[in-house]
Amino acid sequence: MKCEDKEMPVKKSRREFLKGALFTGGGLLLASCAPAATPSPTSAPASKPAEAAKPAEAPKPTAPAVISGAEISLLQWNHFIPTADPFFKQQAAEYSKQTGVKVTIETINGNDLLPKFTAAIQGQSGPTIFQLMSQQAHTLAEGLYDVTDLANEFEPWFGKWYPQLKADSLVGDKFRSIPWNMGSQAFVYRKSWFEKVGATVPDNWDQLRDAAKKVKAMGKPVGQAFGQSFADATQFCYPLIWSFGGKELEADNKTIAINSKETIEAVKYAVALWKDGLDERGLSWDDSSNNTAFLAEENAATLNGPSIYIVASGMINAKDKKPWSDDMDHFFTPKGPAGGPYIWGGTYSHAIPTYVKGKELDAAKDYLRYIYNPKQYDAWFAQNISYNGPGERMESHPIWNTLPKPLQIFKTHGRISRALGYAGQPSAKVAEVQAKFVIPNMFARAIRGQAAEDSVKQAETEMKQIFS
Amino acid sequence: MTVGSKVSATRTIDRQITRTKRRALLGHNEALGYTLMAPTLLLLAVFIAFPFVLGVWYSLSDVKIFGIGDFVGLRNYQRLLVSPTFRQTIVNTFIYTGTSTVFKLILGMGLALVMNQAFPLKNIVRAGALLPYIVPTALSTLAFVLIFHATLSPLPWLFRPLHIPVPSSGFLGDPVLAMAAVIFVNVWRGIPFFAITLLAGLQTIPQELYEAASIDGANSLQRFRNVTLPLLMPVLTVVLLFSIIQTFSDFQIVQVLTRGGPVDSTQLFATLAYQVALQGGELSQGAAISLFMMPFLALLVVAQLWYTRREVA
Repeated sequence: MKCEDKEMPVKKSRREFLKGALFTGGGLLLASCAPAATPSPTSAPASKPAEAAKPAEAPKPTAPAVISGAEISLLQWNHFIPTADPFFKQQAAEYSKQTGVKVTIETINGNDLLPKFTAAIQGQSGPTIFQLMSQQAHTLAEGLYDVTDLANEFEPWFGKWYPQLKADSLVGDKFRSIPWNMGSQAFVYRKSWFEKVGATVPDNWDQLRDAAKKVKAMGKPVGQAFGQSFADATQFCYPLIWSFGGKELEADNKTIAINSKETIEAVKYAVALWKDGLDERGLSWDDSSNNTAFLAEENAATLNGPSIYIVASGMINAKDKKPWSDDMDHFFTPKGPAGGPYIWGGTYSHAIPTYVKGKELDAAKDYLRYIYNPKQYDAWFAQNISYNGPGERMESHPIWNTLPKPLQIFKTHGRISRALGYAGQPSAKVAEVQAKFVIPNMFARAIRGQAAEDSVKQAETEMKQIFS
Repeated sequence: MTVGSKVSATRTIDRQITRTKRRALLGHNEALGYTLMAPTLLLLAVFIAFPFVLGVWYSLSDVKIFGIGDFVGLRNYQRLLVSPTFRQTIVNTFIYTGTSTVFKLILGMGLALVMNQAFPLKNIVRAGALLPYIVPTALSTLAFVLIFHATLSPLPWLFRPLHIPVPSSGFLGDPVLAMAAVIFVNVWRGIPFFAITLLAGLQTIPQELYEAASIDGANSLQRFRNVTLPLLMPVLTVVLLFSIIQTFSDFQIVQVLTRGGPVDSTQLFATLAYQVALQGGELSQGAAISLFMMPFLALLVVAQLWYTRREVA
């Protein structure tokens, strides 16, 4: 066969090869420029994923469980009470000594917990125990073990679970996490400034507006966050809606009920309160900003947990040499036309992801038994200083007898706190509404000048998309 | 021939064959090229191409946080297009990218022209000018969190004596000011990238051209427009392309400073994708938001490559 009869392969020049490689590499580089907001599974290579949307059952425990030598980790939020986390870590060290199980406690900002948990479940690698917040058990349900057995085992140690804590942990008829504790809220205020302007301690929202107007005239407005952070805006906006008779869902858990006369009235009230008496920086605030502003003596009152008072009790007033907290007290979230006070508690619970297996799984369960055991739990609870336990038994903990009167207000909040998703139940979609700050932004847009009706309508549209 | 000499001869022939094969490989451009590219392409395939393909699948599925999900077509994209938050995000991203890039270009060019001059401690100044770019972004943005903080900001202490009004909403409480703040941080961080790269380009321009232009009576502006700019254009287009891509997909500055607020007024594609996917538990929607950037960025890459090929031709 002659050479010219055979089709010769076309040789590429060096330049053409480089161009081809450049285009290929450029295309791949362009693909990399979309940020890894969706967690890259190759950062922790995913094992073959389980079937989607099918909850995993915890493997039946092997007995006897030999857990010595196991290494487990617990990821939780940075507690606002300074003494709580060190004490908890100390207890973990004691447990390690007793059992030979290495326990690592890691604490991070609360806003960053859920992304880490999501990435861990996606990558099938990460902390052994999650400390979840609010309704995160519903969001992450398909990646968490059914821990109903543990929840039922621990519940008698606390009396019955508080309703909100139970609702946040119960997905369908299975506990995906075990209730742990709750942070409540009340308005902390400066007594002397209220007296100075003749403001009374408000019982309802109109009285709060009146008091806010007076203290703002003095240059010390009431501080309230409407920024995109996980707690402060939520704990104000949702109870406000509820106290005006509004709700997010109907009882069927599917019908969006946010767009109502009652919600619009609540939004209008918030706009009026903003103009009359709130700190105008609140739109940019995160969950620590009101603490900073109040302790910097810029605000006369703010809705918060007990942390402001606790920090202030350790600070001495330079003028009269008394603890700063002597000039502080709390009042309940005001009542509205539909009653109250309503509270949304910041709940915490523990869950075990399904990628934890074998000795580590047994060790995780054993460690949870240890920290929930009243001997350990009650000792740690004493460090929490007016955070609530998961059940009514903690209301009779001796620590309450040692706390000053201004902190006694938090004692029974667990009984009246309400989960998000009212009048329905917590769910992954309700959690998504919270994660997207739909309700706080509804108020923020109206504060910025949008008509209340339009802002509520936009929130309704967003919620319908989430629930569709 | 003895056995030993036969073995020796065989070994010599083997070595010669190996050398010949090696020479053949080294001499064959295409095969050598692919061989040398292989490790990099493998890394890119595993750590970039695979997640990208998986991201495309996620955007076309209903996956939440776990597993693969079921195919749902373009439903996620359709939902995004009717979402007020997403439409706001598109506007925010273009404003953020466009404004930042213009300022970085102008100020970066100015800094490059200054650093191209001879003056005492020139090298130290050049090194110092790089600092904003080399400090980790999240770390430097944390400093700006304090600078713009509602209570702790030092800016009112500076503004009041100068009779500059301090906004009552704070620097991050007003949507326009918040956007200005994140743009400011992005520009502050990005100027060194422009300056150093353009400086490198300026230094390749022969001085004789400036001398010739001066002799012909050109003033400094004319020299810049007719000598500097045309010769700097190839470097400028590359710098612009990279900067726009980086700014378009920016995440750290906004996430640390404002988390997309107030009222989603500084929400960018990347921060919205993060919020939806990792905080909202909707990986499919988050992936769709991320991939929405692709057409715009791809157009930019194509335009730049077309320009480069035209210049080469």
